[in-house]
Amino acid sequence: MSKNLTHVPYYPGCSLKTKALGYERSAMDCAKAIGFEMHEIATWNCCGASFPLTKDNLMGLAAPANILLEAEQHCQEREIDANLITLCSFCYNTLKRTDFAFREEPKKLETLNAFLKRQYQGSIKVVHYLEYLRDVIGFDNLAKMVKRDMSSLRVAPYYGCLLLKPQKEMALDDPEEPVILHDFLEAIGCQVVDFPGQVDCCGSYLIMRDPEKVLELSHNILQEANDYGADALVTACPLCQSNLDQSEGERRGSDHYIGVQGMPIFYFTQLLAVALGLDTEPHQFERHCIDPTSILSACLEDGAKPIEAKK
Amino acid sequence: MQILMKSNQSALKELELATGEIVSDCYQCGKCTAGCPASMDPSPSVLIHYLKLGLFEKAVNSESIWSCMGCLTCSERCPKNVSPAAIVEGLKRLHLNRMKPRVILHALGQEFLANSTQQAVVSGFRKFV
Amino acid sequence: MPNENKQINHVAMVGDRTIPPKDARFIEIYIMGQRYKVPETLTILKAMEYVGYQFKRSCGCRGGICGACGTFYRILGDHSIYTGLACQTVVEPGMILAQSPFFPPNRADHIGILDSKMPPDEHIATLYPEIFRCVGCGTCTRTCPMGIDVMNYIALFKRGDVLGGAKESFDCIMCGLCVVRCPANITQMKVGLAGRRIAAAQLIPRSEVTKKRAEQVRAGRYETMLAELGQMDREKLKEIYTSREREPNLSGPGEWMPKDQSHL
Repeated sequence: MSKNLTHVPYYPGCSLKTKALGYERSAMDCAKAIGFEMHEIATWNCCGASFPLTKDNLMGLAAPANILLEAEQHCQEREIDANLITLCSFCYNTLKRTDFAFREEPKKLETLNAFLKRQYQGSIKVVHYLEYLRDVIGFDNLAKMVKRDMSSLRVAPYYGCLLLKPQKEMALDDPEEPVILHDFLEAIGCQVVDFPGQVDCCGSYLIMRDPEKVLELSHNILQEANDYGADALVTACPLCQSNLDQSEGERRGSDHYIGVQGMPIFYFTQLLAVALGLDTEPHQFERHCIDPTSILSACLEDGAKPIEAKK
Repeated sequence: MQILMKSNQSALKELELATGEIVSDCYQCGKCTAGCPASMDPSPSVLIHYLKLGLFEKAVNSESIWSCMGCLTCSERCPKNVSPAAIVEGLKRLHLNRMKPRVILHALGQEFLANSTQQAVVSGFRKFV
Repeated sequence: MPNENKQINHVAMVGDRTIPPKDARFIEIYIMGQRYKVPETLTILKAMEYVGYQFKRSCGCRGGICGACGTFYRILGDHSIYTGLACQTVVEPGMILAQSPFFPPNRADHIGILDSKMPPDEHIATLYPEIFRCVGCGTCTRTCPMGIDVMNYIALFKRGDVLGGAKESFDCIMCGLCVVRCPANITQMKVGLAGRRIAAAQLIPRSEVTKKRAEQVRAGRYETMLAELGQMDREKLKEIYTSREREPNLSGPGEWMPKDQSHL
């Protein structure tokens, strides 16, 4: 493999720097192993997490506009393709929809540029890590890089909401019957469990007002995945991960919800790191409420005797 | 409780301008309600029905608007390209512009703030405060 | 304030005894909606004193470092709001001025901040949860008279980089102008202060030199010297103060030593 790693600007977002550090680290490690390098843009602020659904709320676009602007400067200074890679579903949704809004209505961009006293030219294309793997690297190429046998894992992809919706603006995959995570998991050699709850909502920010509701919704998802025979869930969103994981952890003591026992929730990059034969030490499995290492042990031990594909 | 000091008609106009949605486009098929994971009650289609009937006060005071979590299932499935999620958010905004926040920042508790994911706090503050 | 001072063109010498240059040109400015003529080259603070205002609040060191006199102003015919320190900003024709004495900040309970064992990022989040309301408009950054990227340090605290936020906010003089302008009602300066305290308590290594000196002080090393000074009368104190040895300007570290080294 050549040492020249493709330089891709990267926007982490607040959660990835704190509660979901394992997600970021595993993604960065995997990127290096695959052949590109994610460079964090120099200064960035929180994107606002939720895109303002009311059309006249321009203030909600100010933060993402600032980020896109920083990314644009980053790319122009280095004369590279104007891409911006993201990991968190919320950031991806907000940034991509902001970009879409600017393309749809250039007036909005004009107003914001005047307000921010800066000039964003609208060149940045927002890309999700998964999208980059699918469109630039290619899942078939990814499959060739796999070093560990993952076939003992029965995992259910869980998409959540904001990665896919609204389809018109996100244009990543079908919002009702998505396949991108399925294809990804197949490529790295897992057994994929297709279950109907894959696009249901985990409760999202309702955790602030109504944790009971989140508990109920998360439970339904876990229960469904369990009924379809999954050992673990795989997600791309730090909030989905924490809602599912924490509610499962919280629930263990109560009799109110029964049925699911210790189903771990992975970030897709954590599994990718395992499959690529990387050291998973820094990927913070210990921060999960439900310990994921036990179901990984088969794959990790097999890591000592990796698949003999390349010989 | 009287939130708006306006007629229902002008309040509806304000909502439509703010959200960019046209309430009268809805033909009450109920797909939004069927898909709503928050099981809102009154449901999104009923809220829109209130608006169409001129019962703006009833819609803006519904407790159910606060259980929407913006998953966009309703907007995605609407055959008439209406976004119930946007209308609900518009109602929340109009409510918050005139009434007290639904979440008191400093009453959230240290444990919640220390343990919750940043994006949940940020989104929650955007929607409930 | 005597009434006649309010009239245009009436020169008075009150307050901080403003002495305008002899052949100073007079320019027209507006203070709280009233038109005045003041000599150019004055700072905002001096100009307001020149026309008769006396400051008990909203002025301090007059050296641009205490942050008490942060001020907003407009210029006639310009929609923008400008900011500056009233003791540093020189008046321009058409300036519209006012000094506000105080703006209510939100100061979280800092007691025990230095001994807390809570992780720094969580500590900030619990003290000032309102930072998560930041909409990223950047008004604070554009407001800051010290040129600090205020929004960036709030962003750094939000993402748990307390040390980064502490460094970014280090130049803050607590004038509070950002607080006035914030649409999310954040008290940025206090967040920065808490961040710097937490960083100092938990993240920055303690200085060995300071520790050693603190021990010396506690052990009573300077007690006799202080007692000596306490005995002296006012005149003697004045004398030894004016005749004290001073380190020459711009001398490098270790280049200069006083002749009398008995106190070192």
